[in-house]
Amino acid sequence: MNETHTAIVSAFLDHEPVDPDALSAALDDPEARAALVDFVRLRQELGRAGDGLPASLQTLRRRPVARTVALRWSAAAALLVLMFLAGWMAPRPGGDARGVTGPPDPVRVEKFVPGVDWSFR
Amino acid sequence: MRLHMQVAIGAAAVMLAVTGSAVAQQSSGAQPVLAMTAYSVAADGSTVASAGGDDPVVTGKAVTHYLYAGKAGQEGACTSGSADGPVTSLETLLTRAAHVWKVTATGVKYEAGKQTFDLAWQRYAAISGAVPVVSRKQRITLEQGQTFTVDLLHNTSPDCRTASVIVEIEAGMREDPVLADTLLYYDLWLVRRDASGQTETRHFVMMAKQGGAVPFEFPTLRSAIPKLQANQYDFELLSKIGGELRGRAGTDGRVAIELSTNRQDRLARTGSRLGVFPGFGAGRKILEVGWEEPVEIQLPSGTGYTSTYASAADEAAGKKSSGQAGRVKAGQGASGSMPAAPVSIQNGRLVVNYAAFFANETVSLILQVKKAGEAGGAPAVQ
Repeated sequence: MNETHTAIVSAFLDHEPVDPDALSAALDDPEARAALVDFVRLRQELGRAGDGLPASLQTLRRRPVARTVALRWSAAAALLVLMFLAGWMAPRPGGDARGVTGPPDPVRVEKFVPGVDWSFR
Repeated sequence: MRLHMQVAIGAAAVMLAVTGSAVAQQSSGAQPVLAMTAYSVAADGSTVASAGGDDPVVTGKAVTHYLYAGKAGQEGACTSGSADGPVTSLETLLTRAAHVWKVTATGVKYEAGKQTFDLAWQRYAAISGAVPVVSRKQRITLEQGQTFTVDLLHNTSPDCRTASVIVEIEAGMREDPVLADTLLYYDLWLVRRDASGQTETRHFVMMAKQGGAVPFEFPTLRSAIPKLQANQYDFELLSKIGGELRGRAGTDGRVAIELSTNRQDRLARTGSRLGVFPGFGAGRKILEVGWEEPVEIQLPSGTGYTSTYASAADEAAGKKSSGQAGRVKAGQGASGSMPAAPVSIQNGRLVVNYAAFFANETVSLILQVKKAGEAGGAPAVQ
């Protein structure tokens, strides 16, 4: 099943804006059409049972669908990419290739000066 | 006057505070002192007995103490001791001891962790009375822990283990009791940066009590030496960097650091066993840092040049010296002048010009001091 087609159909049923061409393509997908029928049946069932339900539950429109799952995975992937880029670009301690932990950035620099506080023996 | 004549006495010292509280260690409350001690030393180098006294003084004020050895009327110097408390007279001591040292120290200054004082001393003998056998006046400067030998007297008696009596003066420091148990944790990095920004890092961790000295020595830094001729030995230039750190926390949140560092560079064949590095540079610096405040200290590289035979053929070609690499001062090499190139071959010898070789790199120490056992510092120490 094409999860994108299913998501478009679901969005259409939820009165969300969808691209007509994308909706047309989705309706050409037999599995998406089957999902559409399932959604309609589910709504009817919920509509009948909803009379006895509290108002808060009557807003329940449909079961979680693949669109949500797909969006979650997309968000997680995007977050991982961002974390990788942040780690890659963030300033790091000056460790070397041998893996020795680098020192902190010094707040000041002093120098041994030959003839003043440094001598050669 | 109280006179001690004893063979096995614990260490005692004439402690002379060179200055009052107005010294470089102000906020730490530490007080520089001098310890004067007479040691009875056996032929195996062990200390049979030692004796001294304890008496602080201030800058410009002279303090006199008496040390002695042997018994009047007896040969040798088997015993040693000190006269602490107010000494009534030299004559009294000479009626009891065979040899008496009168040691006077006058504080001159305390600067950069070094004590300067005027030392005047005389050695008297019971058989010659109040005329000193030996005397000397000297101005001495000592760092904490350094010792100056004032005099040495050989024991002529076979009746004891004492081979000689040595009178020494040692610079010390009395810590403020409030801060004396402070533990300092030192993070010390050695960082070498080349012109391209590449860094090579070594890390050393130390911990010590207030005023305690901690030595450090980093693993050797190695620099490749290019091949200038086909049959050349494989060489590398080794740099050893070590030293000693001593820190004192102050009541103002600052830490006074005494940093002694030395750097030794040596040209060597790759993989060879290393003995003593010939020459080296050394320095000493007094720093003041805040807790966890990193400070960088750049080290100079060597001067002059070093050389050794470039190849087995060169070594065999009538050159009978050992071929040992050694640091040579400018103008003293085999060629009589220092080559400008970082690495060159002259008369069969590979020559490294230190200044040129290290011109594009910096070697630094980066120090960060933490209070041990506190948040952000080292693990608590029991």
